[in-house]
Amino acid sequence: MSSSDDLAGKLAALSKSEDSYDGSARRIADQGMPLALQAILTEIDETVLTRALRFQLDDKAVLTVVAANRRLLGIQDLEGGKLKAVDDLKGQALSPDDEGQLKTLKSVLNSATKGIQAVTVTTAPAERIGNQRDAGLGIERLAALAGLEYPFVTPTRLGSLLMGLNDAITASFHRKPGEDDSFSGADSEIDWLRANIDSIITEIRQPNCPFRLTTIGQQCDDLLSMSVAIDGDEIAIFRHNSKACGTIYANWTSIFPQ
Amino acid sequence: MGVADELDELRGAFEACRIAAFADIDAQLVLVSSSAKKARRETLDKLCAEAAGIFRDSKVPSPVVVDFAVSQQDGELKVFLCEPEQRLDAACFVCEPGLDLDAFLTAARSMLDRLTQSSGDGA
Repeated sequence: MSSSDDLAGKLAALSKSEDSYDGSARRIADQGMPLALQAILTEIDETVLTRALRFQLDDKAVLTVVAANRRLLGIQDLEGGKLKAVDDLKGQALSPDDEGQLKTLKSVLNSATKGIQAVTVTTAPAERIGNQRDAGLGIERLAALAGLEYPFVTPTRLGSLLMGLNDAITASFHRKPGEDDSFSGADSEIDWLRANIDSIITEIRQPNCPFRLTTIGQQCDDLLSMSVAIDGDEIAIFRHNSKACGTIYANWTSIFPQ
Repeated sequence: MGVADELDELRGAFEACRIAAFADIDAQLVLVSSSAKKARRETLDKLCAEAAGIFRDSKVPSPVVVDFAVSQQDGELKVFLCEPEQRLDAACFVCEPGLDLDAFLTAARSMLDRLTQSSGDGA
């Protein structure tokens, strides 16, 4: 690490001593908590002076945005994301009234952060994008655009597991104490889950088991495997490709250290 | 290669696999096992009972047809496979959580296919 990196890291650490650092980059999401996009929007919301925020998304991509007055002014660059849509936004001042631009922004933000587990951020002074003081988008508008509930809710461990496995899961059911059951996936698969939840839980649940993950399925059939994850009174059932077992158990182990 | 040799070889290829067993599901009996340290009879009986519970007794709704199961709790990973046609034989494993699960499932399935094939041939 260079001496300037070292100094930047120390200065940043002084300003937020409870944060963790990776060199001079501040870690704002780890193991999918909070959600990568949620962490990015929170960072934008905490930026008052005009700053370029450089977000490292796992080791897959680097998203650089310009923010000021707690608003996202524009996208400066996306390295490694392989998203052509971002070219339409680079350096452009974001307007809350430009529907086409908002649609592209939504696509870029969601695609760039999908499945991302770790996010770090570095900041630097930047040229402002756009002239008007009320230019850009605030956190409520950005959250709504991205389909996130705001104020943000910290996901449970099983919620994080499901979000981290988004690409591998074809349908899921999630039951949390005190909340309505939630489903996601194709209608036919959700119908199957709804019809079979109780029998699956009866089959799988065991007493005195604080947390547990069980997968059953047909090894030669890519589509017909199912996992049941239990964390106390919370339960998640999800269907997935049989070949995703390694990914599922790796994610589980990262969230529930053995 | 005999059953014991097959189990030993699989365990040798995957260090995280602590116990490997070949069981008769109907009789709920472990026929052959392989382990770094001698496995207790109760441990093997419990493993076999779990396999029978999964492959013979469970009422998992269709269209999910179960010929493998993986379970992680209490710091260990248990893997079960049965031959899908007659569902008489099963392979049961107790592993460390660091196991390369995808590679292990593939290798264990190949092993079980060889074992059930040779027992079907009267070998």
